[in-house]
Amino acid sequence: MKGQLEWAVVGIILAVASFIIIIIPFIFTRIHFVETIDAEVVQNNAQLELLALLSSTNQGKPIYQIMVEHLVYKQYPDIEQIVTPGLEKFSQCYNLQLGNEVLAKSKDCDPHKFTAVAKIVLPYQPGKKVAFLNLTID
Amino acid sequence: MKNENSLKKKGIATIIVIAFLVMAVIVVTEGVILANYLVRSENIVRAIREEEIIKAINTVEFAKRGISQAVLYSFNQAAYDIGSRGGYFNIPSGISLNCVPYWKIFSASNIPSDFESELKQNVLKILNSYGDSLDIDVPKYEDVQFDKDNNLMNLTSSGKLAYDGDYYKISDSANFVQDVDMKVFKMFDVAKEVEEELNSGISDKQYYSDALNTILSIESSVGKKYSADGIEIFIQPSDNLGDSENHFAIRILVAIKDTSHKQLVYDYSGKSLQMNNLQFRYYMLVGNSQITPETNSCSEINYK
Repeated sequence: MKGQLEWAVVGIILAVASFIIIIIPFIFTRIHFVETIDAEVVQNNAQLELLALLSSTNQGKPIYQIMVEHLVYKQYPDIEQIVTPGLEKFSQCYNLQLGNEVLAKSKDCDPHKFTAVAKIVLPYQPGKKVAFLNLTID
Repeated sequence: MKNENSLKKKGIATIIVIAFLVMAVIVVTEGVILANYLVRSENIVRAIREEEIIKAINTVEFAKRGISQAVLYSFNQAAYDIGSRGGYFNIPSGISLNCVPYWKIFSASNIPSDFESELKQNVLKILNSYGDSLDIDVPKYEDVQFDKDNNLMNLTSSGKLAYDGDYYKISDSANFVQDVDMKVFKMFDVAKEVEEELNSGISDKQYYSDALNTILSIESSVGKKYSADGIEIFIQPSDNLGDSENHFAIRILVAIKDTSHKQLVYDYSGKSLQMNNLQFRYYMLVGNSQITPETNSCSEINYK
């Protein structure tokens, strides 16, 4: 009888241990998947936000061209005012950067989680065809 | 003593039963949880793939927007380059000075016979140089048609735009229709008109000073005719290259300029992007003194 009791205790311990060992990878995998989906959703939203921004116009002129002309000539000192309304439709925490220049940034918030990158096609010049537009949101 | 043993045995038996019950509950719970995970994991993978599809579509959309801009820039650059070179993609050797061709060397005419074809070649070369810069596979464009009445440019390729992602491949037609300002064709027509006027206005029987007056008069009359379209005409005659007033030769530099707007183009002399006017430039060598025109070599533009 005493031997049976010991086996029963060992059995319970094994069952609990195997339960934990089997379940833990599933839990972590699930957490990983859910985080991946969340990240992809926000990433895709950031991309869509960029697409919407680049497709919009300001006083009849495409934002795409405004950005190119600003990059080449710095000819839009008010570019932050031009792009901010479009950005704030989607996110309150954003940072839009063209090349090395920050074009617009939300106040009191420093986003760092998700970055969408768009290649902005430049007017023809030997060797340099695109510039990078980065939108980071939280 | 017997009772004590019997009680002990009963207690142990109860513990064993409880232990089995606990094990059974654990096994069933684990089974339920695992089954649940398996079912849900399918949905999770499906959700990830859906997001991948959206990502792929976004990437293709970005690229299409980029190609649309590349088409526009290619046309602007091609029109600028070909205009600066008097309508030639490759200027035939021996007829140009500083990459500006002589449309006329006395009685010999060198006006580009197929300007549209020259422009097409330039547009395609520039556009195809953008191909590797985007995030998707962009095929080589093989043909471009200009719809001058509607200011449209139709680009065609037998290949397709293709995105090759982790889970999905997306392909789409690479053909494009783009709005462009076809003023370059009108400027070419104006350039030919000026050439005809100068050709018929300056005769061998004139004196050098008379020829200069004719040039000024043509500059003024044709200039007035097209000023409302934002096209200005500049005609710059050289000094007399002949040996006397009635034995003269003039090298005329004609520039037809679109002053209505400037566009961002790469300027080879400044080696930078600049806001420049589109213009047509060519030389004419006229007169009754058959001198040898000053020429030098002009290499083909290597778009890269």
